[in-house]
Amino acid sequence: MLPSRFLAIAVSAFGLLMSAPTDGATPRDVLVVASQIDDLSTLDPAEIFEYSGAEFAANVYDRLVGYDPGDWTRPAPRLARSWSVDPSGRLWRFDLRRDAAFRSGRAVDADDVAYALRRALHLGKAPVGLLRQIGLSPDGLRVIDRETLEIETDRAYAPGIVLGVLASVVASIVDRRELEARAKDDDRGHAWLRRADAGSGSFRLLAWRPNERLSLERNDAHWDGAPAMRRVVLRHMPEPASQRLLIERGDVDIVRNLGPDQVKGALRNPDLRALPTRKASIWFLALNTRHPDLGRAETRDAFRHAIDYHGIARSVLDGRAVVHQSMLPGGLFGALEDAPFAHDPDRAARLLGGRRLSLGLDVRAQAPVLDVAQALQANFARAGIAVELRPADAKQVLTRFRERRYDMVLARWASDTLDPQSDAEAFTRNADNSDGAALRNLAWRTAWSAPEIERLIDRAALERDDTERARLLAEIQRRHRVEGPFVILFQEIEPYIVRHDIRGFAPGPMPDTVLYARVGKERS
Amino acid sequence: MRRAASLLGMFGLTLLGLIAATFFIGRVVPIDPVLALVGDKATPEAYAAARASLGLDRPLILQFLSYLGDALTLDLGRSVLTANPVSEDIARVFPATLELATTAMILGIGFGVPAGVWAAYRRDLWQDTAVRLVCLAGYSAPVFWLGLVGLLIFYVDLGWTPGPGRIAIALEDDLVHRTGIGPIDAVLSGRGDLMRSALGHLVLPSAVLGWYAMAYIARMTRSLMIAELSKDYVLAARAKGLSERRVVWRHALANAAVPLVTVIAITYGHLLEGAVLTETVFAWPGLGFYLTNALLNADTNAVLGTTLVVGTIFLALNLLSDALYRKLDPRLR
Repeated sequence: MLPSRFLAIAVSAFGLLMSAPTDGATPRDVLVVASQIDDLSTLDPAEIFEYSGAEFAANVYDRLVGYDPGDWTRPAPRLARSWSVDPSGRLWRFDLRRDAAFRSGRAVDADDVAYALRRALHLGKAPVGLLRQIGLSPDGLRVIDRETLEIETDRAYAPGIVLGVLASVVASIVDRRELEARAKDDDRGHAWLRRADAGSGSFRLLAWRPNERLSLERNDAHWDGAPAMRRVVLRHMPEPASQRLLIERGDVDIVRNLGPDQVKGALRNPDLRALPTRKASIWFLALNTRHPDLGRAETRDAFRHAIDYHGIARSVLDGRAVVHQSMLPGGLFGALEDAPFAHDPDRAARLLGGRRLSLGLDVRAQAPVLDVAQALQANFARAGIAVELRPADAKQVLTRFRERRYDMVLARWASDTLDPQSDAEAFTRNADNSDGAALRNLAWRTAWSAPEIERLIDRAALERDDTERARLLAEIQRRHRVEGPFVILFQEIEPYIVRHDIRGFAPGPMPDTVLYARVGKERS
Repeated sequence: MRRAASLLGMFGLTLLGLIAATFFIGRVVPIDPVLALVGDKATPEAYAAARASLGLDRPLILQFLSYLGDALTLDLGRSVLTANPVSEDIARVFPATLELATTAMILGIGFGVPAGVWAAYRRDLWQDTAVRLVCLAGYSAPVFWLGLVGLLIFYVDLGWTPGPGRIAIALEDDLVHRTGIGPIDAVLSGRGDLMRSALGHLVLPSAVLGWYAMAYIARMTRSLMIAELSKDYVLAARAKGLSERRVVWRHALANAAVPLVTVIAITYGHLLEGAVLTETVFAWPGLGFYLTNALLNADTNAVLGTTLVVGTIFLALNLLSDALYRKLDPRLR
């Protein structure tokens, strides 16, 4: 009864399935990275403030200074060959290299650097706060000659702060001629640059399809030498399980979003190796001090002792994070690496003085954050604190956090620069604690202010002696973790898995330290 | 003429209701849409500027009227996430969904209708049980799990099919997007490696999605055919000495086809909405994936634009099935 045509179709379809070609290994000179890059919404470095964008900018644009892999506390020359600062501490002079060139072939000069910084200030997009942090103004940028630029800051900041800002994405150098030609309605070429590139970095933009892929091609004329890879493809792959399958088959070279079990499974494949990298990103619990119980220092202290930090890091996060208990991520200048708080539920219960607390915990409804929240819930229960989990979408949690509509939030903070000042400011600065305050950083969101610690922050910002600045930062962190409404929990580890033939890939702690210029493949 | 005007009016009213519901629900969701635009660390000035640029500082009703006015001129606004005009984004992602959904539908109809007819004809015999089991698996197994298991078996273990994506990653930059439909663009490029890769990448996701479509279509076909085969005209046809093939395929199926058209239209509509989970597992950048991302980030323009497109597709498919219904059933003419 079943027509023979139907059977023929079925057999043909099966045959098609069997004869479909597989992709095989990636080409020798093409690096394929599978990752979640759906946060990429702009390619203009004056606007980029998300992970994937920062990674793009770091590979496509040069900046005056940068960092050498392995030492993320000491700025190193890039477009600037050298620099000096006058005795006032406010006037910086940068000598530029002569062999850097844009895509057009035109040499990068001091006017381009001044233009790039003035442009970012003029556009006033989200990351402009970094430039304002060192009091940069258009008048403070002076071109001495083609290879010399003077930058004047409003105060004599610690050198690390100024150089950290100039090493950040917002200070990327753009081709002023190209942007002047593309400008419309005084936008300094912004509308065009959101989807294009105008840099002098190791790579150039080849193609960008939002939520699909970002392709870069090498700049053969780069002053630091041509990269080994002719092309780098960042492929958006939302599902970690799919990422794992692709790297196991050799269709991609690097993946970075695998969960602990997937990492273990992948490492059973002899062609793969792990490259766990400590990121400048921490997980913390924010306690809203407007809550009558959480406004008490003893209660907040009880939370710090109620948590089994090592147990959660070992059994829940399993290689995705390490215990960290200070607001500055380990590896940054001045960061404290000790862990003074230990799991002691009896002490936590004593600090609560027999009171039974009942609180809500807002958390992103996604692994492994939700798993950590459940473990915290169990820890708190042992100390007599009943916690109701309130899982929601990440943006919903953030909205509640920013509006101070929560009891506790399990959150994550990633550094903007490799200098610790902006992190320290975010966790402590709260000049206006009113509901209508314009500045709503982390301290404001917990409705907590500590004028004494803020004064120490001010001193650290202006301290030009590194040893003394490190001492001040240590004091700030010690006071912050005892007095503040934050329980710092972990520092994030990014679980890169790479194919065995990949060489020279050394991703640093920030998105803009993930560089592909020195990556190569070693194939026989 | 009057009927056409009435249909058009209903079409417009339904779309208006859909946009209004989506718009106002989108505005009461407790997510700050400015965060998607400037992130969490923007300066207060940058935040205020972004809020104003989204028009959020205006009264809600004015925002809605302004959106409606723009939508009438096919200006669906800009997506916060991609910074592109929403119409441009939809034009980019929809062909991917169309390609996947259409292939899945071809498989679904091609296998589902004959399987349903066969099961009905062999009712309660092993053939019927086998078809029902296959349908049950296709209908009840989570498509996400099915996709991953399919990849594990056919891509990783057996190496018969390519992995996730619409084309080999290393070839993606070589494919010029003219129509947005991968295999067609590959054919237009004239390169054999692109054609093989584009077709190969379509096999597994369309098979997974096609199984789901096939399961529904086969079940419905079986039910409809069982009803038709028990009717008197079938008995009469057999009494006249017509062959079984002619009785079943020409007479019974022709009558079952009338309601089956609606089943197929609804299934196709669902697939064109975007199979979010299939698109996620196979890294297939289609409409469902775009809409989910937009929803989670309170990207109102993208959500509204996509809803409008999905709504239009559903209404158009309904109108089409209505027209086909009339064509196939002489009693409705």
